[in-house]
Amino acid sequence: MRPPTRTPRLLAVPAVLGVTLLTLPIVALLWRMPWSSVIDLWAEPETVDALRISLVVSLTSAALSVLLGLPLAWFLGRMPHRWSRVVRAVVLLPMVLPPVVAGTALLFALSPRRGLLGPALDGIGITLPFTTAGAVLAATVVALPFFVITAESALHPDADGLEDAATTLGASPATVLRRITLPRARPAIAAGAALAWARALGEFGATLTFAGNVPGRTRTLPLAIFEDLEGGRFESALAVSLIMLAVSLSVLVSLREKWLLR
Amino acid sequence: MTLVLQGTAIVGELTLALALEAADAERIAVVGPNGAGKSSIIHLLAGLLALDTGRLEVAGNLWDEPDGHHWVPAADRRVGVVFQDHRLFQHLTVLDNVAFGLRCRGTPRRQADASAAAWLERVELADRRNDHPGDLSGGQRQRTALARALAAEPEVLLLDEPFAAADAAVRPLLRSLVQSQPARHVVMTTHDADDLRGLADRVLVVDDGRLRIDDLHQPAAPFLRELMGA
Repeated sequence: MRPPTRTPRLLAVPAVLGVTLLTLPIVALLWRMPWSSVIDLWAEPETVDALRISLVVSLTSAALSVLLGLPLAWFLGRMPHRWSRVVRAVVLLPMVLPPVVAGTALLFALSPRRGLLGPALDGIGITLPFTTAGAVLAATVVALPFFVITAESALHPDADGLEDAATTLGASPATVLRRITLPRARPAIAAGAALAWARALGEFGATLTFAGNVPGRTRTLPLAIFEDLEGGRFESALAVSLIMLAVSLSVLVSLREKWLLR
Repeated sequence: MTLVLQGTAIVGELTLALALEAADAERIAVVGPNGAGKSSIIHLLAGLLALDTGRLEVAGNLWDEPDGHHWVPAADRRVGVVFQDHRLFQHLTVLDNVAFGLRCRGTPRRQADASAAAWLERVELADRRNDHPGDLSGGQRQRTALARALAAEPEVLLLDEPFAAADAAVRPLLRSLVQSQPARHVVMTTHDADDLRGLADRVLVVDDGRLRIDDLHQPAAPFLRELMGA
């Protein structure tokens, strides 16, 4: 048996403070929760609307993240190193970029009047800012990196030579992808999709900046919480927060094998 | 000569100077110290490594000739490889592993499965067909890898230390399978004197990146002398 580990006791103080900092707000949220009226608050038309928009926006954005992110992650592992470094930096930037900056950038790219591509899109009848599609776009910009970074390592070519082995058995590149690469990467793809979905669901800054806070169109759950707090409807803010807390916990549970049990 | 491999291949720090010719049905054993480039010869023949100069020709077909920009991809070479580390597909059953090559080349599923099952029978793994490779012992994995390579009906069978993990009891069985299979060429690397005696028509010693034909019965290379216990 390993002997007990000896640690400098002083380390325990900041460690405990850290855990407290992370748990206290959650405890407070649950403590203040208007448990008896939670269901009624969820049934409010504004909340139902926000929930619907949140689901549409986050699920579409998660699907887009997989659709665009899967090939991107696949190529990232296979392009020459000097290129992959640049592409990876571009892909990861939204993870560290303040979402409000991402939203501002989207505005200057796609606004019908000031945007780089906006006027052209406007010319063919496509307007994105302050629309549900715009909210999807904003959420995808911030969610996509989470998918790519999670899927990339699993799609990395052949550390173990299995793709090579399949090739020697006569597998075409498409067959290798379909029967070897993707099935093996399935857990990572699922984890990446869950993360991207959670990130899209929580999106606030980029959405508010680019798509606004239009009830029934771009007002997602996080924006509804913000609106409730602004308007002094604290109980509603708490009830909506509970939805998002539950969703976050279930994503965490679904990813436990990847993150918690190691 | 129906198999010709000559020229050079640069593998990491090592430059392999290649000179290998084999007639039909001739079984070549490649021996040499670890890191001498034995596996690289298998990979060159399989199409997982490319020559830097020279050419590789099998049965009149040019597979690799950098000067002439000839390159036949691994998938089109009809080789069967037993890798040193087996490289079984962990997410597929043992049966699906063995049927993989036939399925890739268009054999209908039922037929491919039947043929794979017959191969599993031959390597005495019929009862493990629905298991995954992760559930098998090292020796069983090696037998699965051999069945997978042979089931694909290769023209060139490439074996990289094929029986290293096999139990002594099944080695004779595996050797007889390799002896009786119909591939045009067999190239194997080995560290095993019995494999050499039982399977090799010719021995190629790789050392310091150089290939030399040697005689099993009167070995010139010290490495082979030691291996054969002479």
